[in-house]
Amino acid sequence: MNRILVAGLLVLAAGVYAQEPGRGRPGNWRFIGAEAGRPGPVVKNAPFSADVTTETTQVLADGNRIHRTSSQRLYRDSEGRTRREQSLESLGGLASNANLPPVVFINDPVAGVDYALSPASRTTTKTVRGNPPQLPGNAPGPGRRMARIQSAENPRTVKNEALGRQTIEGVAADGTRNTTIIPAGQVGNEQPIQIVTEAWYSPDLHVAVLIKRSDPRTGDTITRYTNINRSEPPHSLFEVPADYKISESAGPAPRPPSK
Amino acid sequence: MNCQEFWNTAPQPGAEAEVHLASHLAECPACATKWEHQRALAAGLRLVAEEWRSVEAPARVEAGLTAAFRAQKGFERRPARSSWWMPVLAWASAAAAMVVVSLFLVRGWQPTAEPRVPLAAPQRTGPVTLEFAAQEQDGGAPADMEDDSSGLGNDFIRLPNAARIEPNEDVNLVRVEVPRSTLIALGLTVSEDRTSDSVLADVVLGSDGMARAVRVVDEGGSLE
Repeated sequence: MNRILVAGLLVLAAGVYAQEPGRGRPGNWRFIGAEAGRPGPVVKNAPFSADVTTETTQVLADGNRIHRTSSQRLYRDSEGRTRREQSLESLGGLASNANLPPVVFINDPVAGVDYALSPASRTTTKTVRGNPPQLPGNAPGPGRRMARIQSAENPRTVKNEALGRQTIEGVAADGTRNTTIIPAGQVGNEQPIQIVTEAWYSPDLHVAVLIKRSDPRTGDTITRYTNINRSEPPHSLFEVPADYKISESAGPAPRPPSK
Repeated sequence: MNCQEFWNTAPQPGAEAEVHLASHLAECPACATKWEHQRALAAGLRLVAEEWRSVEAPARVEAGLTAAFRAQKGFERRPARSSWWMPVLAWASAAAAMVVVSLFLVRGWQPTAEPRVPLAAPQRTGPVTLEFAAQEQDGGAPADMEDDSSGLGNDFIRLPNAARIEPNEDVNLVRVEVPRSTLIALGLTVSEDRTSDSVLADVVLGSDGMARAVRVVDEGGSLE
């Protein structure tokens, strides 16, 4: 009788064990947790929601191709809170078969806290932040900011072109094309390297709704905002559900003093 | 007292630092931060231990199983006595044990306990969370398009062919357990004799959701 019981227990344990995604199986990824890392600038009075997809294609020297994709759903309310529903099926393009559960990042500059929610385990990591940078009304778009950074990188050649205004996914967007040339020998390269970034920046949303970047070192990358909805997202999206267990993060570590 | 002397004489994580050690913590922000992270880790581990302590089988179940085992194997100290309730008790105890084990497997083994330990407190030393790029920028050195370390801690390794992290970019962190062999596929150098081992790794996701950098958070962050 005891043998039957022991066998039953083992079968039951094996069944339950096998139902946990990725657990204990060699070669698989396993999700442990998440943490909001560093919030971007706060943008107020420009609420929206959108799907954000990024595709990267790199052609290797032998003709082989590496194609990576990532998708997320992004929300922002009028107070500048953001919610990022990140699919981890490919873990940001790292592994096409990672098949990890999704994670949700909430940045709440009003409360000064960030959350990383794991809906699968109904847990969240809370991080208390200082005040993130505010995006002023006349803040430059990504193209101008990029140009400012790159202008300090002599002796690279930078060229900026205005591409006019287009309506992309229902919003007006100003296009800029930024061309950076790394001269031969700058990074050990025999020939000049040309990097072209085309960004379509929405002054209403304060985001680039379409970015195309071509860099021979990293391949071609396209980031698209689609299904843009400019209505105010429900406030509940920026709150942690009541049944989630919250653990506190130690927060960002200060930079060690140089000795 | 310098930092090395402090850590050589530091008490176990979770304990209070003595006066002469506390004075070093007051003077050294780096050690103070590391010390607080170790304390947080110890607190998290104690929390996990407390939570798992309640998952053991009730005493009566254990007693019932012991009695049933002795009845089967003839280990009773008293003369064996045939009674009608012994098989009932054995089956009931076994059923209760199965329920307890099932609950333990279904609820206790889900990775809820591990996230309770803050991601900012991995089992290692050194800077443990993302540093703000602005801190680097304040140093006056211009950002380098090829060097993503301006936006991350020193222990992050930029993924091959990943785009750089912009100074004001919204980035997030995901911690995963991954076989070392997978790290080879990412273009990282891994010791061949330990490819079957698993390691904990933090993956930095950019605002576009793409992975940008990775670091190993156990074993001192070493990939070898």
